[in-house]
Amino acid sequence: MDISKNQTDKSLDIALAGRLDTTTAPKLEAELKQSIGDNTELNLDFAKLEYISSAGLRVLLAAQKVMNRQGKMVIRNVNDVISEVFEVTGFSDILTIE
Amino acid sequence: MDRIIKRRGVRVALCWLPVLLFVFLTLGLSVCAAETAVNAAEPEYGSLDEIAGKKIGMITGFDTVLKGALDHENTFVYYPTATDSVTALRAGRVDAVCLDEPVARLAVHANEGICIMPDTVAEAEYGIVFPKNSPFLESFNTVIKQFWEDGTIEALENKWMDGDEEEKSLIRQDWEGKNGTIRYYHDATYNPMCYIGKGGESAGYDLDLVLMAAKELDLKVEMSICDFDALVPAIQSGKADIASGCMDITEEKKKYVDFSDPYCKSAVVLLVRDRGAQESAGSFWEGLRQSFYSTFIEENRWQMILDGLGITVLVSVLSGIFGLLMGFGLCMLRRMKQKPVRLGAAAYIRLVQGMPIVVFLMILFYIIFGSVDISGIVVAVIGFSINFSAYTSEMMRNGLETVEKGQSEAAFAMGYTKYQTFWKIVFPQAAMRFLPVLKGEFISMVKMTSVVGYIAVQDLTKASDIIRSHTMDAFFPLIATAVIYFAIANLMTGALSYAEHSIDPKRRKREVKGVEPR
Amino acid sequence: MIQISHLRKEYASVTPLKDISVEIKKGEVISIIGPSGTGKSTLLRCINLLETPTGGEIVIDGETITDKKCKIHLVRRKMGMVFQGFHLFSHMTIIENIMAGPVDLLHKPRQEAYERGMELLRMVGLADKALAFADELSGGQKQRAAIARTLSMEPEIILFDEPTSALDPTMVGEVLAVIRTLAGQGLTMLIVTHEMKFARDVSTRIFYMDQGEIYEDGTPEQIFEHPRRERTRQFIRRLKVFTASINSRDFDFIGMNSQIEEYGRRHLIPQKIIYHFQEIFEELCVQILLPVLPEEVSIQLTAAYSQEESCIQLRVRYNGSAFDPADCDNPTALALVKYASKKLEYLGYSAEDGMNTVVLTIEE
Repeated sequence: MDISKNQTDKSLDIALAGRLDTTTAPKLEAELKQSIGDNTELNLDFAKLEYISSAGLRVLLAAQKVMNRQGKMVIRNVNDVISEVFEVTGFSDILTIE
Repeated sequence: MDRIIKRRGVRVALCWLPVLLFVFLTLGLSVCAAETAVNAAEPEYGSLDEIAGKKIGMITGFDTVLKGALDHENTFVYYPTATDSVTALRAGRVDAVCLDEPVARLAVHANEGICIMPDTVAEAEYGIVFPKNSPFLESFNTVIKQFWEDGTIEALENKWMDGDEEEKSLIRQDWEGKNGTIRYYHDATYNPMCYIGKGGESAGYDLDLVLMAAKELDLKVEMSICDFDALVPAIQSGKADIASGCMDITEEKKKYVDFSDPYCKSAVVLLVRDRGAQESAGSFWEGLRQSFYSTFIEENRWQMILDGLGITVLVSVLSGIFGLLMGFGLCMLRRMKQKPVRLGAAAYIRLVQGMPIVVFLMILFYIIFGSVDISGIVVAVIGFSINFSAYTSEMMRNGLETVEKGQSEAAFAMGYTKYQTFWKIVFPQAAMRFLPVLKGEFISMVKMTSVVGYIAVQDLTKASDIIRSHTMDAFFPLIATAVIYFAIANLMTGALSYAEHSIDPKRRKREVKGVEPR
Repeated sequence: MIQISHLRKEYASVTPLKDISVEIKKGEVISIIGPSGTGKSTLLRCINLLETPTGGEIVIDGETITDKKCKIHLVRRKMGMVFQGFHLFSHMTIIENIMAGPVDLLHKPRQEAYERGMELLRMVGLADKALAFADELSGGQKQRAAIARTLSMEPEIILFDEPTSALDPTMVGEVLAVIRTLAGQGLTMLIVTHEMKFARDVSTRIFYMDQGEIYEDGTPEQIFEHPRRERTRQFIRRLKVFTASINSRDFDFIGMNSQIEEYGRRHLIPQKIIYHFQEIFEELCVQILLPVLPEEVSIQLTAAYSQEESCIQLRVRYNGSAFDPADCDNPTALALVKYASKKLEYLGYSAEDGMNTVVLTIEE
């Protein structure tokens, strides 16, 4: 999985590409822990994400909790497959998906 | 780039360092050992009884005489040349050395710290050796008888054993030789009887006598140098018509060859260490300078070393080339479909690999080419080529076998013929694999050629043997020879490594030859 | 182009080719499929006489190559071969490999051979490796270079002998892509392969070989969709089985995922099913089972794909005490497993071997 990020004044954009699964989720977790700081806006771009597993969902949930306290988190460009995953796991109710 | 060159220079220098150390250490030891001064001779063992149970060194042929003279058990140690046995005595390896008197005298003269035991072992008579039923035996005996009577023998003794160095040269062969030519084999390590004198010319009492006798009989003489041990085989095989080299007339030898009447009466004596000799304070460098002078400079002996070196290189290189070609042929035979051919080649390789090279050379020279007039050098080249071919063929075969079948299949599938596939695809890959091993084998062959003295070839080792017999200084010529061998072996390794690197595709420049890259 | 009649090849103990008679026309792209050990490679190797047939006749472009008088090396120049083991010449650089044939055999000027060689290398995407040696290349690169070498002789026929079988699964795609481009260029091609999807996509004709003969010969549609004969049907519709086991907590997760992908590609399994298979593997085995299983973990997976029903039957067996995944405390993972499988059933715990069994059905 590739992570690319872009930091602008209190707003962090992160784009993911590839598979967010058991082996790659810790990488995202570490990246968020390091970069989230006191940003008030976190934008996740899933355009190139092919696969997500529960391990990945857990990381998203943790990030959502942090951002709930200090601002907001938005997920963009979710494809059908991943959107279905959000649907069946109930995450679509918790996360802000645009 | 500069740094690489510098580093390589350092590496080369480092590789020579142990050699230099070795040379200096041994020379130091040898020269120090030689630095002893003579007072009155005080033999370590004064009589034959005192020597009981001790180790006695000799060249072959003295054991029967000694056994007759000593009525106790002794250990006998055999050396290839008289010089070697004297060296062994000085080094303390043996307690006494058995020699013919003239040789013993010369040894005492040239080496400090040894002397002749007052008790003689036996009277000895030297004879010229002839094959059984030789037509020349009768006539030579007549001449020898005449020489004893007319004082020629006495004159010869004066000339060679005591006389002025200037006079010690052979008579010229200025007679016509109406009665033909005889082939004469002689030893050359037995100063003053038969040796290499000034300017590398053969010289000595024995040779002079044979020449004078030949003059009387109007026979031309064709002389060849030969190892003492190989004199009798040379006569038996018909390589030589006559031979000499202080050869004792014994009943045992008479079974195989005929002897002339004795031409020299002498004694067999024992050389022992001299307790009277003391350490002297001569300098190391002075000793070294003297050894160097007597080994190389005096009487232009370096010429002999150079000639010997030439022979060594010639035999090695020719054997290397022919051995490689023959090895390739053998290797191809081993890969043939026909089983008898394969088995034949395999048997040949087994046979050659299973025989010591000295034995093989002697068989070639004295038996197989026994009745053919052929130079020892040619036989040496033939022998070593055959030997080398047996080893190289196996290396090549192993190399070829490591090239996987897929390589040739790919070439066949592209339309290469069998011949093209072998030469363009399979062989270059195999060569990369067998060349390093081949290099080592070649270098060990270069060193192995040091045995060619056995078949009357005067190579580097033989030249150094002859010089040692002349100067009776055993250490310096040996070390010098070792250094020369080391140097040529290294030069050849270097040359072969260069060849090896030049065919290794991974080491050459990454470019496509004969092409303008676009 | 190629006429084969009553071709037979026998060894002392086996007869890989019994009686082959077939005619191949110019420009045909033929995939040869079938179970292993049925003479597919032998047939290919007989066509360029790397194997000598024991009977029958092969005529190529009017030349009877089985005739003793035939100069086979001249015929072989028109007929390239790509090997399973690549066989690039190891003492030459890649570009020299490609120049060797044209220079040595066709006597072309080196410059011309070089330029054509670089063109071919660019075509297979290896121009930057021209001066590399074979052992510096990956398997996929080697095979692409070998294809370029074959093309350098400008052959009319190319024989591919299992070109991707020796490759790491991740490199199969790049080689197949190169062969795919060649397929449309009028070359006559014979490809022995186990890549069914590829065979169906690129071929104009399929030989199904079984027990030393061409058992069925037809268009890809006929062979893959409506096989006429029984053994072909069995081969095509046979349940495609996948087995794997996990015996360590540090097992190769990524390797397992690519094995599943490879399984899917081999057997033409729809992408969606494979996606679900991977989801189940990760959620059920890694997220749900691994945390609750004992230290000496043992999980066995057996998947069987049926083309007719377009579904995978997956059986998962694991050790530890009796445990129904439905009772786990990871609702997200469980939700995903349920979403990815049409049916999830816990069959219980067997005290005999100490294993639990779960069966699942995966559909599109």
